[in-house]
Amino acid sequence: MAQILRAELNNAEGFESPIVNNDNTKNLCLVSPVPDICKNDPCMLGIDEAGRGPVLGPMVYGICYCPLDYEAELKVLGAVDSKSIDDKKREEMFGKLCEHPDQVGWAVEVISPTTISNDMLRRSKISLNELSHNSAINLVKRALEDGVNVKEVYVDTVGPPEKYQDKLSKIFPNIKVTVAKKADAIYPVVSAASICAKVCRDKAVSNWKFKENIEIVGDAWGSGYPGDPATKKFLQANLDPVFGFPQLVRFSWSTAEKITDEKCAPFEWSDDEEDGAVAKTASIQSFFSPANSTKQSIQLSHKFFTERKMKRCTDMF
Amino acid sequence: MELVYDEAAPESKQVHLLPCKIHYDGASNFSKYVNIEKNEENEMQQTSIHGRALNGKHIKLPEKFQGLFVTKSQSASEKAFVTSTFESFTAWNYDKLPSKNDVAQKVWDWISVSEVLHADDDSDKDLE
Repeated sequence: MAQILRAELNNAEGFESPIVNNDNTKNLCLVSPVPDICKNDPCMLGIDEAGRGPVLGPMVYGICYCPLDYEAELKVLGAVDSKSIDDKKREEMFGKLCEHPDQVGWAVEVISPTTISNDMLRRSKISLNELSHNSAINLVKRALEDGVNVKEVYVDTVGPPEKYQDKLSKIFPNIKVTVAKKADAIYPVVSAASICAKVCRDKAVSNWKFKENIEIVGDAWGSGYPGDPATKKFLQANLDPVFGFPQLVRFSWSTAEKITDEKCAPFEWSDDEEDGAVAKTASIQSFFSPANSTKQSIQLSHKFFTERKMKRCTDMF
Repeated sequence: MELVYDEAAPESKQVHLLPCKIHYDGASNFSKYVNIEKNEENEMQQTSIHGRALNGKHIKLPEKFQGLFVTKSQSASEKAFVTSTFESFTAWNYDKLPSKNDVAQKVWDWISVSEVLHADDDSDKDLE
Protein backbone atom coordinates (compact mmCIF):
# COMPACT_ATOMS: atom_id res chain seq x y z
CA MET A 1 0.00 0.00 0.00
CA ALA A 2 2.96 2.24 -0.53
CA GLN A 3 2.68 5.40 -2.49
CA ILE A 4 4.40 4.94 -5.85
CA LEU A 5 6.43 7.76 -7.30
CA ARG A 6 7.92 7.60 -10.78
CA ALA A 7 11.17 9.47 -10.42
CA GLU A 8 13.91 10.34 -12.81
CA LEU A 9 16.87 10.97 -10.54
CA ASN A 10 20.22 12.39 -11.59
CA ASN A 11 22.07 11.61 -8.39
CA ALA A 12 21.76 10.57 -4.75
CA GLU A 13 20.47 14.03 -3.75
CA GLY A 14 17.45 13.31 -5.89
CA PHE A 15 16.16 11.02 -3.15
CA GLU A 16 15.90 13.85 -0.67
CA SER A 17 12.85 15.70 -1.88
CA PRO A 18 10.50 12.72 -2.40
CA ILE A 19 11.61 11.28 0.92
CA VAL A 20 11.15 14.52 2.83
CA ASN A 21 7.77 15.13 1.19
CA ASN A 22 6.54 11.65 2.04
CA ASP A 23 4.72 10.97 5.29
CA ASN A 24 7.59 9.07 6.88
CA THR A 25 5.32 6.75 8.84
CA LYS A 26 4.21 5.40 5.45
CA ASN A 27 6.00 3.29 2.89
CA LEU A 28 7.15 4.88 -0.33
CA CYS A 29 8.14 3.36 -3.66
CA LEU A 30 10.44 5.25 -5.97
CA VAL A 31 10.61 3.85 -9.46
CA SER A 32 12.91 4.93 -12.28
CA PRO A 33 11.67 5.12 -15.85
CA VAL A 34 12.08 1.80 -17.69
CA PRO A 35 14.78 1.99 -20.39
CA ASP A 36 13.29 0.97 -23.77
CA ILE A 37 16.00 -1.61 -24.29
CA CYS A 38 14.93 -3.38 -21.08
CA LYS A 39 11.48 -3.91 -22.54
CA ASN A 40 12.92 -5.84 -25.48
CA ASP A 41 16.22 -7.42 -24.55
CA PRO A 42 16.30 -10.13 -21.89
CA CYS A 43 17.29 -8.57 -18.57
CA MET A 44 18.83 -9.53 -15.28
CA LEU A 45 17.48 -8.06 -12.09
CA GLY A 46 19.20 -7.83 -8.70
CA ILE A 47 17.48 -7.47 -5.33
CA ASP A 48 19.03 -6.31 -2.09
CA GLU A 49 18.08 -4.52 1.09
CA ALA A 50 19.57 -1.90 3.36
CA GLY A 51 18.84 -1.18 6.99
CA ARG A 52 17.54 -4.54 8.09
CA GLY A 53 19.32 -4.63 11.43
CA PRO A 54 19.12 -1.08 12.79
CA VAL A 55 16.62 -0.15 15.50
CA LEU A 56 16.13 3.21 13.76
CA GLY A 57 14.75 4.32 10.45
CA PRO A 58 13.23 2.55 7.48
CA MET A 59 14.37 -0.65 5.83
CA VAL A 60 14.86 -0.07 2.12
CA TYR A 61 14.47 -2.71 -0.56
CA GLY A 62 16.08 -2.05 -3.90
CA ILE A 63 16.04 -3.62 -7.33
CA CYS A 64 18.25 -2.79 -10.26
CA TYR A 65 18.07 -4.27 -13.74
CA CYS A 66 19.80 -4.09 -17.11
CA PRO A 67 20.10 -6.18 -20.28
CA LEU A 68 21.98 -9.46 -19.74
CA ASP A 69 24.90 -8.35 -21.87
CA TYR A 70 25.29 -5.12 -19.91
CA GLU A 71 26.57 -6.90 -16.78
CA ALA A 72 30.23 -6.30 -17.63
CA GLU A 73 29.51 -2.57 -18.06
CA LEU A 74 27.87 -2.46 -14.65
CA LYS A 75 31.06 -3.83 -13.17
CA VAL A 76 33.07 -1.15 -14.95
CA LEU A 77 30.71 1.50 -13.55
CA GLY A 78 31.82 0.25 -10.15
CA ALA A 79 29.00 -2.01 -8.99
CA VAL A 80 30.69 -3.59 -6.04
CA ASP A 81 29.37 -4.74 -2.69
CA SER A 82 27.89 -1.59 -1.15
CA LYS A 83 29.17 -2.53 2.28
CA SER A 84 32.76 -2.51 1.06
CA ILE A 85 32.67 1.16 0.04
CA ASP A 86 32.04 4.35 1.99
CA ASP A 87 28.97 6.60 1.78
CA LYS A 88 30.59 9.05 -0.61
CA LYS A 89 31.72 6.36 -3.02
CA ARG A 90 28.29 4.79 -2.89
CA GLU A 91 26.57 8.05 -3.79
CA GLU A 92 29.02 8.50 -6.64
CA MET A 93 28.21 5.02 -7.85
CA PHE A 94 24.50 5.71 -7.69
CA GLY A 95 25.11 8.87 -9.73
CA LYS A 96 26.84 6.75 -12.37
CA LEU A 97 23.88 4.39 -12.56
CA CYS A 98 21.65 7.41 -13.11
CA GLU A 99 23.85 8.49 -16.00
CA HIS A 100 22.76 5.42 -17.95
CA PRO A 101 18.97 5.66 -17.97
CA ASP A 102 19.01 4.10 -21.44
CA GLN A 103 20.44 0.83 -20.03
CA VAL A 104 19.80 0.66 -16.29
CA GLY A 105 16.55 0.85 -14.34
CA TRP A 106 15.97 0.65 -10.62
CA ALA A 107 13.29 0.89 -7.96
CA VAL A 108 13.31 1.15 -4.19
CA GLU A 109 10.72 0.63 -1.50
CA VAL A 110 11.16 2.54 1.73
CA ILE A 111 9.51 0.47 4.45
CA SER A 112 8.81 2.83 7.30
CA PRO A 113 9.80 1.99 10.88
CA THR A 114 6.09 2.38 11.74
CA THR A 115 5.16 -0.30 9.19
CA ILE A 116 7.89 -2.58 10.52
CA SER A 117 6.77 -2.18 14.15
CA ASN A 118 3.07 -2.46 13.30
CA ASP A 119 3.54 -5.62 11.25
CA MET A 120 5.84 -7.29 13.74
CA LEU A 121 3.42 -6.45 16.58
CA ARG A 122 0.18 -7.41 14.85
CA ARG A 123 -2.27 -9.85 16.43
CA SER A 124 -0.97 -12.31 13.86
CA LYS A 125 2.62 -11.26 13.65
CA ILE A 126 4.41 -10.73 10.37
CA SER A 127 8.10 -11.56 10.67
CA LEU A 128 10.78 -9.31 9.27
CA ASN A 129 11.66 -12.09 6.81
CA GLU A 130 8.14 -12.22 5.50
CA LEU A 131 8.00 -8.45 5.27
CA SER A 132 11.28 -8.52 3.34
CA HIS A 133 10.11 -11.25 0.97
CA ASN A 134 6.87 -9.39 0.26
CA SER A 135 8.69 -6.18 -0.55
CA ALA A 136 11.12 -7.95 -2.89
CA ILE A 137 8.30 -9.83 -4.62
CA ASN A 138 6.25 -6.69 -5.13
CA LEU A 139 9.19 -4.81 -6.59
CA VAL A 140 9.78 -7.58 -9.13
CA LYS A 141 6.06 -7.79 -9.93
CA ARG A 142 5.95 -4.06 -10.56
CA ALA A 143 8.99 -4.24 -12.85
CA LEU A 144 7.23 -6.97 -14.84
CA GLU A 145 4.04 -4.92 -15.00
CA ASP A 146 6.08 -1.99 -16.24
CA GLY A 147 7.23 -4.17 -19.11
CA VAL A 148 10.75 -5.10 -18.05
CA ASN A 149 11.73 -8.31 -19.83
CA VAL A 150 13.14 -10.02 -16.74
CA LYS A 151 14.80 -13.36 -17.43
CA GLU A 152 17.11 -13.75 -14.46
CA VAL A 153 16.76 -12.62 -10.86
CA TYR A 154 19.59 -12.54 -8.33
CA VAL A 155 18.86 -12.08 -4.66
CA ASP A 156 20.87 -11.71 -1.52
CA THR A 157 19.25 -14.19 0.80
CA VAL A 158 16.98 -13.46 3.71
CA GLY A 159 16.61 -16.63 5.76
CA PRO A 160 17.58 -20.01 4.29
CA PRO A 161 18.49 -19.54 0.59
CA GLU A 162 16.91 -22.79 -0.68
CA LYS A 163 13.49 -22.04 0.78
CA TYR A 164 13.53 -18.47 -0.49
CA GLN A 165 14.62 -19.60 -3.95
CA ASP A 166 11.75 -22.11 -4.03
CA LYS A 167 9.27 -19.47 -3.00
CA LEU A 168 10.45 -17.01 -5.65
CA SER A 169 10.63 -19.66 -8.40
CA LYS A 170 7.03 -20.61 -7.73
CA ILE A 171 5.87 -17.01 -7.93
CA PHE A 172 7.95 -16.27 -11.04
CA PRO A 173 7.99 -19.58 -12.96
CA ASN A 174 9.37 -18.03 -16.16
CA ILE A 175 12.34 -16.44 -14.48
CA LYS A 176 15.61 -18.08 -13.50
CA VAL A 177 15.96 -17.23 -9.83
CA THR A 178 19.27 -17.37 -7.98
CA VAL A 179 19.22 -16.80 -4.24
CA ALA A 180 22.65 -16.73 -2.68
CA LYS A 181 24.46 -15.66 0.42
CA LYS A 182 26.62 -12.60 -0.22
CA ALA A 183 24.97 -12.18 -3.62
CA ASP A 184 25.74 -8.47 -3.32
CA ALA A 185 29.45 -9.27 -3.50
CA ILE A 186 29.12 -11.82 -6.30
CA TYR A 187 26.67 -10.37 -8.83
CA PRO A 188 27.19 -6.80 -10.08
CA VAL A 189 23.44 -6.36 -10.60
CA VAL A 190 22.84 -7.17 -6.92
CA SER A 191 25.67 -4.82 -5.93
CA ALA A 192 23.88 -2.13 -7.95
CA ALA A 193 20.56 -2.91 -6.23
CA SER A 194 22.32 -2.80 -2.90
CA ILE A 195 23.78 0.61 -3.74
CA CYS A 196 20.34 1.98 -4.67
CA ALA A 197 18.88 0.67 -1.41
CA LYS A 198 21.69 1.84 0.81
CA VAL A 199 21.92 5.33 -0.67
CA CYS A 200 18.16 5.72 -0.29
CA ARG A 201 18.18 4.43 3.29
CA ASP A 202 20.97 6.86 4.23
CA LYS A 203 19.08 9.76 2.67
CA ALA A 204 15.90 8.74 4.47
CA VAL A 205 17.62 8.60 7.84
CA SER A 206 19.70 11.74 7.48
CA ASN A 207 16.70 13.75 6.25
CA TRP A 208 14.29 12.41 8.85
CA LYS A 209 11.68 14.98 9.89
CA PHE A 210 10.25 14.26 13.28
CA LYS A 211 6.47 14.43 13.16
CA GLU A 212 6.50 14.57 16.91
CA ASN A 213 7.86 18.08 16.71
CA ILE A 214 10.33 17.22 19.44
CA GLU A 215 13.71 18.62 20.25
CA ILE A 216 16.19 15.87 19.63
CA VAL A 217 18.73 15.64 22.38
CA GLY A 218 22.14 15.11 20.88
CA ASP A 219 22.58 15.61 17.17
CA ALA A 220 23.58 12.11 16.19
CA TRP A 221 22.16 8.66 16.58
CA GLY A 222 25.11 6.84 15.11
CA SER A 223 24.64 3.90 12.78
CA GLY A 224 21.26 2.97 14.20
CA TYR A 225 22.51 -0.48 15.10
CA PRO A 226 21.46 -1.53 18.60
CA GLY A 227 25.06 -2.13 19.65
CA ASP A 228 26.25 1.35 18.66
CA PRO A 229 26.87 3.47 21.83
CA ALA A 230 25.64 6.61 20.01
CA THR A 231 22.38 4.85 19.10
CA LYS A 232 21.93 3.62 22.66
CA LYS A 233 22.50 7.12 23.97
CA PHE A 234 19.98 8.55 21.51
CA LEU A 235 17.33 6.04 22.59
CA GLN A 236 17.84 6.79 26.26
CA ALA A 237 17.88 10.56 25.77
CA ASN A 238 14.79 10.85 23.58
CA LEU A 239 12.27 8.91 25.53
CA ASP A 240 8.79 10.14 26.35
CA PRO A 241 7.66 8.85 29.77
CA VAL A 242 4.38 7.64 28.26
CA PHE A 243 4.64 7.20 24.51
CA GLY A 244 8.25 6.11 24.37
CA PHE A 245 10.03 6.84 21.15
CA PRO A 246 9.38 8.95 18.08
CA GLN A 247 8.25 7.03 14.98
CA LEU A 248 11.86 6.87 13.77
CA VAL A 249 12.38 4.00 16.19
CA ARG A 250 11.31 0.41 15.58
CA PHE A 251 9.36 -0.39 18.74
CA SER A 252 9.41 -4.06 17.86
CA TRP A 253 13.19 -4.31 18.30
CA SER A 254 14.07 -5.94 21.60
CA THR A 255 16.48 -3.08 22.35
CA ALA A 256 13.63 -0.60 22.09
CA GLU A 257 11.15 -2.80 23.92
CA LYS A 258 13.54 -3.26 26.80
CA ILE A 259 13.87 0.48 27.26
CA THR A 260 10.12 1.18 27.09
CA ASP A 261 9.46 -1.69 29.49
CA GLU A 262 11.96 -0.35 31.97
CA LYS A 263 11.43 3.37 31.71
CA CYS A 264 7.97 4.15 30.35
CA ALA A 265 4.61 3.99 32.03
CA PRO A 266 3.55 0.34 31.76
CA PHE A 267 1.07 -0.45 28.95
CA GLU A 268 -1.27 -3.41 29.26
CA TRP A 269 -2.74 -4.29 25.88
CA SER A 270 -6.14 -5.85 26.05
CA ASP A 271 -6.86 -8.76 23.83
CA ASP A 272 -10.59 -9.12 24.22
CA GLU A 273 -11.02 -12.01 21.84
CA GLU A 274 -8.45 -14.16 23.58
CA ASP A 275 -9.88 -13.41 27.02
CA GLY A 276 -13.32 -14.31 25.75
CA ALA A 277 -12.17 -17.57 24.20
CA VAL A 278 -10.54 -18.71 27.41
CA ALA A 279 -13.59 -17.92 29.48
CA LYS A 280 -16.06 -19.61 27.16
CA THR A 281 -14.26 -22.85 26.42
CA ALA A 282 -14.68 -25.42 29.13
CA SER A 283 -11.92 -27.98 29.55
CA ILE A 284 -12.60 -31.42 28.10
CA GLN A 285 -12.30 -33.01 31.53
CA SER A 286 -15.15 -30.95 32.86
CA PHE A 287 -17.59 -32.80 30.59
CA PHE A 288 -16.66 -36.13 32.19
CA SER A 289 -16.82 -35.05 35.81
CA PRO A 290 -19.94 -35.62 37.88
CA ALA A 291 -22.16 -32.62 37.42
CA ASN A 292 -22.19 -31.48 41.02
CA SER A 293 -18.43 -31.70 41.47
CA THR A 294 -17.72 -28.97 38.94
CA LYS A 295 -18.04 -25.64 40.52
CA GLN A 296 -20.78 -23.78 38.78
CA SER A 297 -19.72 -20.24 38.25
CA ILE A 298 -22.46 -18.00 39.38
CA GLN A 299 -23.81 -15.93 36.55
CA LEU A 300 -23.80 -12.55 38.18
CA SER A 301 -24.98 -10.62 35.23
CA HIS A 302 -26.93 -11.29 32.07
CA LYS A 303 -25.02 -11.88 28.84
CA PHE A 304 -26.46 -8.65 27.51
CA PHE A 305 -24.40 -6.77 30.09
CA THR A 306 -21.24 -8.87 30.10
CA GLU A 307 -21.02 -8.63 26.31
CA ARG A 308 -21.19 -4.89 26.61
CA LYS A 309 -18.83 -4.81 29.57
CA MET A 310 -21.51 -3.11 31.62
CA LYS A 311 -21.45 -3.30 35.37
CA ARG A 312 -23.85 -2.07 37.95
CA CYS A 313 -22.29 0.99 39.46
CA THR A 314 -23.28 2.16 42.90
CA ASP A 315 -20.17 4.04 43.94
CA MET A 316 -18.67 6.67 41.80
CA PHE A 317 -15.14 6.19 43.11
CA MET B 1 -22.13 11.43 46.92
CA GLU B 2 -23.07 14.82 45.55
CA LEU B 3 -22.07 15.67 42.02
CA VAL B 4 -21.29 19.32 41.57
CA TYR B 5 -22.13 20.08 38.00
CA ASP B 6 -20.95 23.35 36.61
CA GLU B 7 -22.66 24.28 33.35
CA ALA B 8 -19.53 26.16 32.42
CA ALA B 9 -17.31 23.11 32.64
CA PRO B 10 -15.24 23.24 29.46
CA GLU B 11 -15.92 20.79 26.68
CA SER B 12 -13.10 18.43 25.80
CA LYS B 13 -12.69 18.20 22.07
CA GLN B 14 -10.64 15.04 22.07
CA VAL B 15 -11.40 12.00 24.15
CA HIS B 16 -9.79 8.69 23.27
CA LEU B 17 -10.70 5.26 24.48
CA LEU B 18 -7.56 3.18 24.06
CA PRO B 19 -7.37 -0.62 23.92
CA CYS B 20 -4.80 -0.66 26.66
CA LYS B 21 -4.41 0.22 30.26
CA ILE B 22 -1.67 2.76 30.81
CA HIS B 23 -0.37 2.83 34.35
CA TYR B 24 0.06 6.55 34.36
CA ASP B 25 -1.93 9.47 35.65
CA GLY B 26 -1.44 13.00 34.45
CA ALA B 27 -0.75 15.14 31.45
CA SER B 28 0.95 13.53 28.48
CA ASN B 29 2.33 14.48 25.08
CA PHE B 30 -0.52 12.71 23.30
CA SER B 31 -0.97 15.14 20.45
CA LYS B 32 2.75 15.21 19.74
CA TYR B 33 3.29 11.49 19.73
CA VAL B 34 -0.01 10.14 18.50
CA ASN B 35 -0.36 11.03 14.88
CA ILE B 36 -3.88 10.26 13.77
CA GLU B 37 -4.72 9.64 10.16
CA LYS B 38 -8.33 9.97 9.11
CA ASN B 39 -9.89 8.32 6.13
CA GLU B 40 -12.62 10.74 5.07
CA GLU B 41 -14.42 8.14 2.98
CA ASN B 42 -15.13 5.44 5.51
CA GLU B 43 -14.55 7.52 8.65
CA MET B 44 -11.93 5.09 9.90
CA GLN B 45 -8.94 6.39 11.77
CA GLN B 46 -5.51 4.94 12.13
CA THR B 47 -2.55 5.47 14.38
CA SER B 48 0.35 3.72 16.03
CA ILE B 49 1.13 3.71 19.73
CA HIS B 50 4.16 1.88 21.10
CA GLY B 51 4.52 0.35 17.64
CA ARG B 52 1.02 -1.17 17.67
CA ALA B 53 -1.35 -0.48 14.81
CA LEU B 54 -4.59 0.97 16.13
CA ASN B 55 -7.84 1.41 14.22
CA GLY B 56 -10.31 3.95 15.48
CA LYS B 57 -13.74 5.36 14.94
CA HIS B 58 -15.26 8.61 16.10
CA ILE B 59 -18.38 7.95 18.15
CA LYS B 60 -20.97 10.55 19.04
CA LEU B 61 -22.79 10.12 22.31
CA PRO B 62 -26.51 9.57 21.90
CA GLU B 63 -28.78 12.57 22.03
CA LYS B 64 -29.58 13.88 25.49
CA PHE B 65 -26.41 12.25 26.81
CA GLN B 66 -23.24 13.95 27.85
CA GLY B 67 -19.88 12.59 28.90
CA LEU B 68 -18.45 13.92 32.14
CA PHE B 69 -15.00 14.01 33.64
CA VAL B 70 -15.42 13.94 37.36
CA THR B 71 -12.90 14.51 40.08
CA LYS B 72 -13.30 13.83 43.74
CA SER B 73 -13.26 16.79 46.03
CA GLN B 74 -10.12 17.08 48.11
CA SER B 75 -11.82 18.66 51.11
CA ALA B 76 -15.39 17.45 51.18
CA SER B 77 -15.35 13.68 50.72
CA GLU B 78 -19.01 13.55 49.76
CA LYS B 79 -18.59 15.86 46.80
CA ALA B 80 -17.35 15.34 43.27
CA PHE B 81 -16.81 18.00 40.65
CA VAL B 82 -17.35 17.88 36.95
CA THR B 83 -14.14 19.21 35.44
CA SER B 84 -15.03 18.90 31.77
CA THR B 85 -17.58 17.38 29.44
CA PHE B 86 -17.58 15.63 26.09
CA GLU B 87 -20.10 14.91 23.35
CA SER B 88 -18.08 12.35 21.43
CA PHE B 89 -14.97 10.23 21.65
CA THR B 90 -12.73 8.07 19.50
CA ALA B 91 -12.81 4.35 20.25
CA TRP B 92 -9.62 2.50 19.30
CA ASN B 93 -9.07 -1.17 18.59
CA TYR B 94 -5.73 -2.91 18.61
CA ASP B 95 -5.18 -4.07 15.01
CA LYS B 96 -8.87 -4.60 14.31
CA LEU B 97 -11.22 -2.49 12.23
CA PRO B 98 -13.99 -0.92 14.27
CA SER B 99 -17.31 -2.72 13.89
CA LYS B 100 -20.82 -2.91 15.34
CA ASN B 101 -19.55 -5.72 17.60
CA ASP B 102 -17.25 -3.39 19.49
CA VAL B 103 -18.28 -2.62 23.04
CA ALA B 104 -17.93 1.08 22.33
CA GLN B 105 -20.61 0.79 19.66
CA LYS B 106 -23.05 -1.72 21.06
CA VAL B 107 -23.07 -0.48 24.62
CA TRP B 108 -25.61 2.15 23.54
CA ASP B 109 -28.17 -0.61 22.94
CA TRP B 110 -28.77 -0.38 26.63
CA ILE B 111 -30.39 3.01 26.22
CA SER B 112 -33.28 1.70 24.17
CA VAL B 113 -33.58 -1.42 26.33
CA SER B 114 -33.61 0.68 29.45
CA GLU B 115 -36.20 3.05 28.02
CA VAL B 116 -38.53 0.12 27.45
CA LEU B 117 -37.83 -1.35 30.88
CA HIS B 118 -38.25 1.86 32.81
CA ALA B 119 -40.82 3.73 30.78
CA ASP B 120 -44.07 4.64 32.45
CA ASP B 121 -46.43 2.41 30.63
CA ASP B 122 -50.11 3.13 31.02
CA SER B 123 -51.11 -0.42 30.22
CA ASP B 124 -49.28 -1.60 33.39
CA LYS B 125 -51.34 0.79 35.46
CA ASP B 126 -54.52 -0.58 34.00
CA LEU B 127 -53.57 -4.05 35.20
CA GLU B 128 -52.97 -2.80 38.71
